Amino acid sequence: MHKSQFSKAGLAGLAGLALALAAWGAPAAAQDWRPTGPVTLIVPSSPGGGHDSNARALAQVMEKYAGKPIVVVNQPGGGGVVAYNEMMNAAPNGQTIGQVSTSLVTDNYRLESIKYDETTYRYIGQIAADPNLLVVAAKGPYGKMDLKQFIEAAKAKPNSVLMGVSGNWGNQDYNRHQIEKVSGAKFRRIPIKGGREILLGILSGDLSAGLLYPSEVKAQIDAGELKVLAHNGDASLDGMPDVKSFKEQGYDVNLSVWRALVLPKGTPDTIANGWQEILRQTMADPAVKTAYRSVSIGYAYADAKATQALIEQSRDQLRVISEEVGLIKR
Amino acid sequence: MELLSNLALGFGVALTPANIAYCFAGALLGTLIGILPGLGPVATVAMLLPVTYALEPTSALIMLAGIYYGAQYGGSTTAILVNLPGEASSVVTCLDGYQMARQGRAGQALTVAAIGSLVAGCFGTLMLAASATALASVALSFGAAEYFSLMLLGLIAAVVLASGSVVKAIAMIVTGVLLGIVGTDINSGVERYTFGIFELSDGVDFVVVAMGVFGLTEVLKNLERVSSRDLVTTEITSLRLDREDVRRAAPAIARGTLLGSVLGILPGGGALLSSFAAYTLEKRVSRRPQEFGKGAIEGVAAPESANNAAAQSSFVPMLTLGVPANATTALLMGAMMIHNVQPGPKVMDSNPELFWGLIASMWIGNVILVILNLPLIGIWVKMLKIPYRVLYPAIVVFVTVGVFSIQNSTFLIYVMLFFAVFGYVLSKLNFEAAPLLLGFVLGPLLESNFRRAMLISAGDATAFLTRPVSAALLLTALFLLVLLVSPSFRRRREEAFQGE
Repeated sequence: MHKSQFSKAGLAGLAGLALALAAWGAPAAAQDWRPTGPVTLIVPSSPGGGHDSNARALAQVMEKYAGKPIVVVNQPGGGGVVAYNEMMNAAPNGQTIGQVSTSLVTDNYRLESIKYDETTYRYIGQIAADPNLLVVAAKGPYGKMDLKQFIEAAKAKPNSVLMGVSGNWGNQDYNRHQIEKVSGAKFRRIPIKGGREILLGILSGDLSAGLLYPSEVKAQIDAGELKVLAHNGDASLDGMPDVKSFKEQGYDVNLSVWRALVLPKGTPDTIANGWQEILRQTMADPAVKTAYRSVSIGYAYADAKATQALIEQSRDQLRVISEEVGLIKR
Repeated sequence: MELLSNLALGFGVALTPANIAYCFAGALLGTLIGILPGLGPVATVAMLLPVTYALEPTSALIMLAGIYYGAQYGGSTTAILVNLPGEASSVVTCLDGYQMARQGRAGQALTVAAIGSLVAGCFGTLMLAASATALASVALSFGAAEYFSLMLLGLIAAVVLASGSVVKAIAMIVTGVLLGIVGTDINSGVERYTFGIFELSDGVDFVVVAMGVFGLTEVLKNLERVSSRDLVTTEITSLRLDREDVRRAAPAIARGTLLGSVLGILPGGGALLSSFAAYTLEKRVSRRPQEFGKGAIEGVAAPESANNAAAQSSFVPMLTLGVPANATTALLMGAMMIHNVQPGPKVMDSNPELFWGLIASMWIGNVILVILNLPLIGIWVKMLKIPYRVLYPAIVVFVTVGVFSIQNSTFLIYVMLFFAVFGYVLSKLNFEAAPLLLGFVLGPLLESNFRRAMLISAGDATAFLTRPVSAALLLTALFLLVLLVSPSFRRRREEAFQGE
């Protein structure tokens, strides 16, 4: 390769890039704040789970609108408590953002002496709503039933249906309680550490049923090894149009997990507005839906104000359940 | 034959220049992070994930898988040279590998680890190729009752692992089990031994304990000895294995490979367990159990083969069931999903070029690893000549960075320091750390599976005996127990450990 040719091409490219950047950057720079360096996105879980793949799918697209690289930092310590504290104490300069979920609300019911709750942060917006799926083994005793028959079977013989739940009052336990309350069925609660162990338990025949995220069970459903009886969301599921919600089947059960992006409380308005705009643009990009679909994350977006309202509503709902199951002593 | 045509397809994919390059890059990177203590494949794969978005899914997976099994491979180097498990799975390799190095046989130890890993990797891959679906059903035949019985067998066998007094070994196992209990009880939500420190509510990470009681403890111990470096560098003879070495190592590699291949299939701790199990088995069948812990070549060959075989076979549940076996395979699964490949029962039909390409690449990767590492052994061994005042500060830095990377939190560094001091005290009192770690791994699994099995059977303890696999495992455990307390065996064991 001739050196002069190479550098000419390089220069032309650089010049073009600079022009493009100037044209794109000029109006934006006038009003909107944008990150000045690489952004840290704190995720309260270890690499590889639903929380994590959500963050990575989003970050991939959001970099385009933030204009700077977004680095996902996993802080699984203390079941997310470490990450929530870190988000709370980060410098409010917009270079550190955090991803929070329903556990932000429920942590207050199951843990003592934590210093955060849903009012500790400044919201950027909602990024996802992930429903749980009620699944049974297709070849198992409940594999031929629909939701109604399944619940009737559980009512006919209380404690005979072995329901795997992620331990320590996670979303699945709340959900199990909801189903029991509206239907009068009684499941035998089998606490297990995580979703993949529950999945394995159902496949191996140890468990009768479980409430799991679509990303955890999509493959087994497609292969015909698991049967979905219902999902606990509102909208129909992207990629699983046949699956009906509990509500559509006559049971008032509704408890999908929401995820949102947050900033530390003291973040100035200009920075908060900048991030809200970045997220709005990101969530409007069809690339997000594509990225979410590939990892089976449920797409949902709400702006900062609507997110605040959503989370307050979620807090009230979860408080009632927490009282009912005895986590909060009245 | 279908298998051959599938493999031909796989090699066709894996042998393209680009994919060989990705395989090489993954294996090299894996070896490096394997050598660096604490920094593990989980953090590395997570960091590299965004880079792979732009790649073909098969290439991405080939590279990420290379990092995973390359790390198992590289971990042995640090274990042998400086008694520091580079990876969680090379904890056991420290026991005899480091002793071999101190006797000037570091070259042989590294060579046998390399060859063992190659044999195991190739065999593990062949097994994966030939019977992935059948193996998956083995994983599914293990319910809570079977896991409990397996863990119990492991704990009883652990007593054999120790080379000193039985009482001390049991004390260490129990201490390990108790340390494993720290965290939140998932059945009741009650926190145990967390002292209100929320960082402890998820328990203590295995890597942190291992880095503390093995790595930093070793540094502390050596601070006592002023300039006793010559102890290790007693002239390194050749790297060649002599006939006696081969005679002893070959069957150990075979047994380690088999055990690793089988245990690696079990999701949840199977791969980690396999190196412990292989070491225990070797010591049990050896005619010279007294040499274990003092530089027995079998003690390096078996666990190194086992952990590499397990690394390969831990792909079985991920690829065929869609259930990841550990954190790294969970990340690999995420990587596949980002590329619109759904791992699980249908991946073999829907993406044959990816499935078989990945398997073929593991073969190539294992060969690359040996080619990469055998010439490097000479260089690694020279590391032993680095003066302590340079080497130890470097180790402390690497370990600290590695431990931080597990959760991106400084708390774990303090936990590691605690375990370093703890390990130092233990070594002063002649307690061994290996049974402690085994208890630490097995204890929580034992408890959770026992309680789950009892919940499932509604409190009926005969469930452990009515399920055939579980009953067989329990019988083996009982047999070991009888053996351990029987007078003739005890005499033999005491004879074996005379002079302790």
